[in-house]
Amino acid sequence: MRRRLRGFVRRWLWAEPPDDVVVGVGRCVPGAVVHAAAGAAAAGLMATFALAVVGWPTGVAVAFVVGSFVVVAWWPGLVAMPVGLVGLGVLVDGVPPLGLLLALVLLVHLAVVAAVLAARLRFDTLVEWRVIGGLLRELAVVQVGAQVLAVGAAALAGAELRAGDGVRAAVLLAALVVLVVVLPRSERGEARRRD
Amino acid sequence: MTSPVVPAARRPWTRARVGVAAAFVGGGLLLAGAVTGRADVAVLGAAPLVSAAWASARRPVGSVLVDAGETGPELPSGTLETSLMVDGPPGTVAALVSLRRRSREVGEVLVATPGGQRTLPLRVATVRTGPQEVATLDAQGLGGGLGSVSLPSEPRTREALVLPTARPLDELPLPPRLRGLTGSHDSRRPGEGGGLRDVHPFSPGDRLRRIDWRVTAKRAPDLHELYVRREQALAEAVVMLVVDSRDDVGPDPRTWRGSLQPRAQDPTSLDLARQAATSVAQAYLGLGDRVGLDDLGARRRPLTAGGGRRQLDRVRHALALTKPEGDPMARVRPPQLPSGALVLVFSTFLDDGAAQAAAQWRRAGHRVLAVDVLPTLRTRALDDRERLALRLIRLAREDRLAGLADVDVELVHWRDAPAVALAGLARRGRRRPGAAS
Repeated sequence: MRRRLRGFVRRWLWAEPPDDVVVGVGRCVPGAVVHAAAGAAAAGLMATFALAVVGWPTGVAVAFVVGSFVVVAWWPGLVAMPVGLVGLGVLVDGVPPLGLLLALVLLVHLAVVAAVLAARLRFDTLVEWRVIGGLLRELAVVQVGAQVLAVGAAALAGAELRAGDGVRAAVLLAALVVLVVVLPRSERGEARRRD
Repeated sequence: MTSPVVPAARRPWTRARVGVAAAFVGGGLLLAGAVTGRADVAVLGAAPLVSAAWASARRPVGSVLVDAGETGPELPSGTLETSLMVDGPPGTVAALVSLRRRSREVGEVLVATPGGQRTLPLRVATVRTGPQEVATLDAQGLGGGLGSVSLPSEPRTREALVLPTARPLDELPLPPRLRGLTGSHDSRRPGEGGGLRDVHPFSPGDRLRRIDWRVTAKRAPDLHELYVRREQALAEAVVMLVVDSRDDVGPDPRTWRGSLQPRAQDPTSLDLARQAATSVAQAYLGLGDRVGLDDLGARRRPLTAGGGRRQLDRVRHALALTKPEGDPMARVRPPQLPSGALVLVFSTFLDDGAAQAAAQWRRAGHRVLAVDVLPTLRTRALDDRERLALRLIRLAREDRLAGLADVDVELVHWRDAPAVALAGLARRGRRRPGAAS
């Protein structure tokens, strides 16, 4: 019996290393990192929501944060859950301060974009950094408008203005504009430049 | 009235499910904010919704093609270099390329495709020789914002012929009988070009320039007789390489059934046979000998013995094309070989076919070398039944090899220092009969 068990273990633990096939791509990130990033974005969203908006006890907040990380990192398609939960919380809890609203707008979008990317990848897929850079640039372009819209929405909803909120909003917008300029241009931009 | 059917190639790409789900959630938040009059809730869903709408508006139309570039026929064993080309319609921002070798997934990479096209270098390390798959590729295009995906492309397989490379060999055994009047070996016959045979009194027919004046002055100072130096003639060896292509087994006995493929980084018995035959051919041809090639596993005309650089190219190419074909062929008698040829049989000797042929050639008077090309076996992962089966196969094989030794077929194991073994056989062949061993 022991011999049979040993043979079974040997057979299944005898992993075959993959062929040495190398594609000459640029700098790459493993798919597992992208999955972890999607989970982290969802967890960050949930942490911000749980601690700043709802004010849950620490144990519950940690459970939700860890749960969001695990769920989204493993099944990126379920990113709608934390996003919907955060939206529901904001709806129930009342108008959040401006700084918090700006952070939530950014984190919701970041979690969605990371999940869209992670959903296409296995853990061992190599992702070229240019692809991630292009996605982040598009995110920054949309976020410039979304953050301006959030400032307007906060003013409309009568959000509480804390000290330094204006500076935070300005810094966030400036950072997004810098991202748009610095990150690689989109395919259309490159084609135009080649022409 | 029915709507016209649009071919798949002209339809916009499918929206990504996660993107659609995010758009629904964003739309829901926007709707909830609008219904409840809460702009702060509505703005949370704005960014995902705008992103999804932007991605949807940029959905490409058309199909994605992927291919590997040509690899030249002359490839050194070890690395295959080619290129990977992805060609998508305008609007393709990335492509998810899957690579497979021998029906095994070896990698997946998500690459940017600016302008829809991208060419990347592809390098495949291999220890195998002969016809082989470089890679099988397929790709799936991704539209702007990764919000749309194309249908997977048709898988494309690129194959290449990897020629075996030689390893250096020093001394080599020679056949008992040499042929011709050219070559680099001393013949037993008197002639020109070889080593000193003897010093002999001048006789009619001897050339004047052969007169050895020093010996003549010593032996016949009064010049009553002239002495000439006689040399041995040069000759060449005829070597026939016989490859047993019926077996192609790897180091793991579990792959011998054929249901599992040997690992890509393990040379198989046929790879070793190709390398061994190429090494031997290069060494003999370098000495000016004639080398031919025959295959025990295929019924086709043998490559007749020849010399020179082009013969080496012919031998290498023929070896690279050698592979197991269909069911093992049963031969009534071994192939006929040139008389007096040295025969090298490259086989695993896992069955009687090659051993019987070698024994018959030896009985016909050829000097026969059996080159054992079975790789060093890896038995770590075998269970008890497989170990027992392997033990039986090994016993039968050892009996077979012992039988070959009994009929004076010399044995070389290619996996353990073949250059040393061949040099030993070369020295043994030079020993005179009756000399102390």
